[in-house]
Amino acid sequence: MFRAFEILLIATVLAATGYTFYIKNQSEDRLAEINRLESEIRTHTDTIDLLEADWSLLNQPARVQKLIQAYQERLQLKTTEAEQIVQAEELPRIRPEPVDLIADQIMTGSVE
Amino acid sequence: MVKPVSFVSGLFKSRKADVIDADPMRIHISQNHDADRTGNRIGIAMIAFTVFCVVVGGRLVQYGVRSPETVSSILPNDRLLASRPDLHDRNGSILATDIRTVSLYAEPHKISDPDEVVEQLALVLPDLDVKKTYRKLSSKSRFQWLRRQLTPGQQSEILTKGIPGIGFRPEKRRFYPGGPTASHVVGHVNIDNVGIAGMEKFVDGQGLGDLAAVGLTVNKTLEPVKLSIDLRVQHILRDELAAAMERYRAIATAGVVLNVHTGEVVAMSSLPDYDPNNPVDALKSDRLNRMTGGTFEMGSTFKAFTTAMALDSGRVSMNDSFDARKPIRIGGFTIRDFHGKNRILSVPEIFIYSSNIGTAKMADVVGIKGHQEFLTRLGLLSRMQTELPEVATPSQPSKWKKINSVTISFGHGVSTTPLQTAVAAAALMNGGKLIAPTFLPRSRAEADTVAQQVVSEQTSKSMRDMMRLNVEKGSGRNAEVDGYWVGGKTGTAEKVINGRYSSYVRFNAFLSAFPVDDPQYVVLVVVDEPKPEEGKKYATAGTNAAPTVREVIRRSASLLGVRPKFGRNGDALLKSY
Repeated sequence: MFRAFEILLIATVLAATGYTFYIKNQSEDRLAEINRLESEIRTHTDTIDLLEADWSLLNQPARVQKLIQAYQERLQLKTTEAEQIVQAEELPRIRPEPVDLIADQIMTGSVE
Repeated sequence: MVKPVSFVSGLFKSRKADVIDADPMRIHISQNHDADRTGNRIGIAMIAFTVFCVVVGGRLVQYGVRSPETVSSILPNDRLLASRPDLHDRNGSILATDIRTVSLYAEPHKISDPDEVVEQLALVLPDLDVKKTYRKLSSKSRFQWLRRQLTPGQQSEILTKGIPGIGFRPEKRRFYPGGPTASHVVGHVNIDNVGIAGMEKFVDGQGLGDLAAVGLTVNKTLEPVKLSIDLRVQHILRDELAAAMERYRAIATAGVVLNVHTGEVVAMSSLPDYDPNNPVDALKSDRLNRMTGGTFEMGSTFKAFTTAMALDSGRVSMNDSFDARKPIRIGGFTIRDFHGKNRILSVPEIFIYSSNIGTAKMADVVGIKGHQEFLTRLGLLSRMQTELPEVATPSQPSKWKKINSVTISFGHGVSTTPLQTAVAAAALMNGGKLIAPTFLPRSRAEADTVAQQVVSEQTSKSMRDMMRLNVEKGSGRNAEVDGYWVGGKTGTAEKVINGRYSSYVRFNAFLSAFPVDDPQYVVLVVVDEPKPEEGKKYATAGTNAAPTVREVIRRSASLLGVRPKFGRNGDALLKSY
């Protein structure tokens, strides 16, 4: 009885120790993973910043203008002039549908 | 240290006192001699332990008080350079950003096989100087820079090679993708990433600088600061100014596009300028920001203010006429007209023919006091309040006499900054509200809270009509852009050379607003010391500043959201089919 109790205690202690080590090991792994991810995030954010700077460099109006001048002949690009800009409400009215002559006559007839 | 010692001596004293106190009789009475000896031993042990504890405690205090020995002077990486917020334009395009790069270094004493390291590195960095790197790696030193500012891609490639004895150090660099495009507005930073000019300096003044000064730099990303600048319009303005500078062989050109309802500066440029990525030229005297940091006699563009003043005073109406037949003689000076008509001119005629005589007479109606008061009200005589740190103070005569009022009526005798002139003109155009200029986004409602009514709505309306008339029939004809209804006033000022006004050295300006029936933007272009264009005789503002304004408006109006209108009353004149 007493012996059994001791064995049980020892087993419990061993199990607890094992579990503690397992937890510790796990948390260390997790921590390493977190660190790795954090550094990865940092690298990616830095890369994004750099690419954004790169993009704005490529997208500079000054550069685009130079490219347009360089490819002017091949692409036939032209500046949009004020005459080409029209608001929807400024457009002339759409021409009415062509009237069906026969149907029109019938209508007229019925009115008579 | 002192206290424990006195405690120990106190212990001795009390023991001595015990001995002295002890009655000789009591020693006899004491029956146990051994007990007395034990007491002594305990006492000695106590003393020994107390001394030991005091020594240990003392040493602890000593270590605690002493300042730590300096073993290294290298700061942590992140504190080397403080983070700065990015600067964006009004549409979110980057004007200035921090790029975090890494630099590659080697610790040669940890490298056993320099050959292999060089070979591996050369795979990633093909342009690496193999000989030089080999020499660096096989040296006896403990630290060597191999390559500054690598891209993240190169860094990860080097990392995957797993080369021992090399490492990376993060570095931050301020980068301006636009280069010189918005240099005077954005400004630049010094080697320590502290803003020293333009909006960079303004941003530091908002608390960031104080934080950095006490070492509390934040490493996390700061919210970008949005400016009122539109990068596309800014480019167009600078491009046209650069073209004008070359075409008219001017020593400088400058310009601004200002929103009349909010006071936002949408574009501002002053040439020659510099590249903020490499600001070696920034402090050269000709690189000054002429729009805010330089004062000039604005010349005939000032007639717009004189005319507005005369109309706003109520003493002059649009139908009044002034005799411009004879030159004015005053204080030994003779005031003549450049394009003399030698007849009686109405107020709009005085404006479009830019008559000095007529304008001087209009100023005379208002009087010297009223003239000074009006220009002060328009903010033309005091230092402008805005975010940019580079702002010059206008100059005016210490005491206004009649002759001063006469010359100031057509823009001589008072020096002010071109941006101030544009701001005052915006007030004449937008219905009379003077709105301080800003380089940060501002809504119309916010602008209305800071706006001051300086002239009446009616005066503003008359000024708009005259500005338009001047482009249709007067000196501003070269500024006309079909569909955008430009109105403007030219100014050809003679510059003072060796104390005299020279008729060959000029400062030209064109002050314009569009669309003039409901002005949205004021565009001011100044050309400093232009020469006549190839094959032409004159170099007046109508031949150089006005066409520059035309090109700026033609290219940027649609980007600014101004709808073109055709026909007299703005109706579309499209053929109906």
